[in-house]
Amino acid sequence: MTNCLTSINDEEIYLVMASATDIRNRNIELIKMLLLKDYHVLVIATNQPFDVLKKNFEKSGIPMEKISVVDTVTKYAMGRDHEPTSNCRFVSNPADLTAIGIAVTESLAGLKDKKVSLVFDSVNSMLIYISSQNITRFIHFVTNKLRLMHFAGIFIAVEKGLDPDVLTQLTMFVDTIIDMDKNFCLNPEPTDDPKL
Amino acid sequence: MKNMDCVITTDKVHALESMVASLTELLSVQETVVSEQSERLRQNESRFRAIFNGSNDAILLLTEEGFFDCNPSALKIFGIATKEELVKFNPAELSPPTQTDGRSSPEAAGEHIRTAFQTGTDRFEWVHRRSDGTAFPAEVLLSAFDWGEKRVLQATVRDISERKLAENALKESNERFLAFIREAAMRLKTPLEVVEENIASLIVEVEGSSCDTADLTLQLKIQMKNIEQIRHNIVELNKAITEHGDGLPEATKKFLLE
Repeated sequence: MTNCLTSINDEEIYLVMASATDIRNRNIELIKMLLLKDYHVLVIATNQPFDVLKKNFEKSGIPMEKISVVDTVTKYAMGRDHEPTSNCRFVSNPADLTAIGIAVTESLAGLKDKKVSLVFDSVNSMLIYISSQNITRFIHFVTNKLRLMHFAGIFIAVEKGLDPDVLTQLTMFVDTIIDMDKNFCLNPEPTDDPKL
Repeated sequence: MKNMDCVITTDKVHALESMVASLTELLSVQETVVSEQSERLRQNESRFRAIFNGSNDAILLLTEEGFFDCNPSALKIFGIATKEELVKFNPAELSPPTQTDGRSSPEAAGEHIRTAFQTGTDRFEWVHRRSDGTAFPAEVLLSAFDWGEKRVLQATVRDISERKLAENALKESNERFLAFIREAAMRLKTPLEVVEENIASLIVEVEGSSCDTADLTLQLKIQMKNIEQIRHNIVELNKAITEHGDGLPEATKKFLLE
């Protein structure tokens, strides 16, 4: 557990960065930290299917009753519906931002009175199906909406190596950047530094 | 008569007559020369007036006190009916309050006029304003010359709206192309890295015998879908390249789009 993660605050937006090889473990680390702080975590999964995610979470000791998932890949890859699951909503196409937005709204409606945080996992995999411009617009729209609704915390996961322009745009609407590899938190200023 | 010098002889008369004839001839030649010169001047004046009046560029003549003459194109470009009306304006009044660099037009116009009077010429880009209030980009050449006793500037104003539109269109097209290339590169590089990493972690799971066959199949299906999408993105990129690649052979185009 990193010191950086223990200092996260409610109602803030974080950009969580980790190297591609480590991002799955780092996201699990982040979610465990959020559960310790009594959050219910909503994961927008654009890379791993719910079934695999669930097994990995359970293997890491994460109680699934505290997790909700919007899965954008299972239905698309299987070509058919997944059997209904109480804590997951399946979107049929990862490029369908409207459907993802609706699934997020519906999931949040079912989590009223809970301290909810949202994790986008991950921006890099979204880039397979969606243009960078639409991704940043979508994340901006969702994070703004949730911030206005006083949602507890929003975490946008990115693998290092993302285009510096996209990263710069993302840093413009987050409060803090967390570099998981370096255990390092930063309140961002507009920058051209591609390493950020 | 005592003084023979005072005697008018026939010879002297002849000499005087000859002198008068020579002077008359000289005067006649001089008149011809003057007349030819006047004709040449008139032709030159007429030629210059034709150039002045026929130019598509606005030509305005001014002293430090302001405009005193202009050609018909100046009236057309600035949308002013008569020369008498135009010469009432000063250069800054035919411009918006500020120029594109943020300087005030009266101040900047004054500087250009001073430079042209001092150095003989000044060429610059300027935003002018028509009488209906619409602004247009112009290229201005100021040339100083002597006009009788006065020092005068000739201002040649060329409306470069079309050139600017073409330049801006080219610039926007280049920017769009660069943005497209950048996005295309990102939509290939980052997704390939994602797929590469996903397959690498699947290999680790298989090697560690820790994965369920159904999960493995699903994850491989996802990677297949990802690769399918990346191929689709490549075809989209190729489509854009072929649409703008006039020199590409048909066979190459077909290959790129298949």
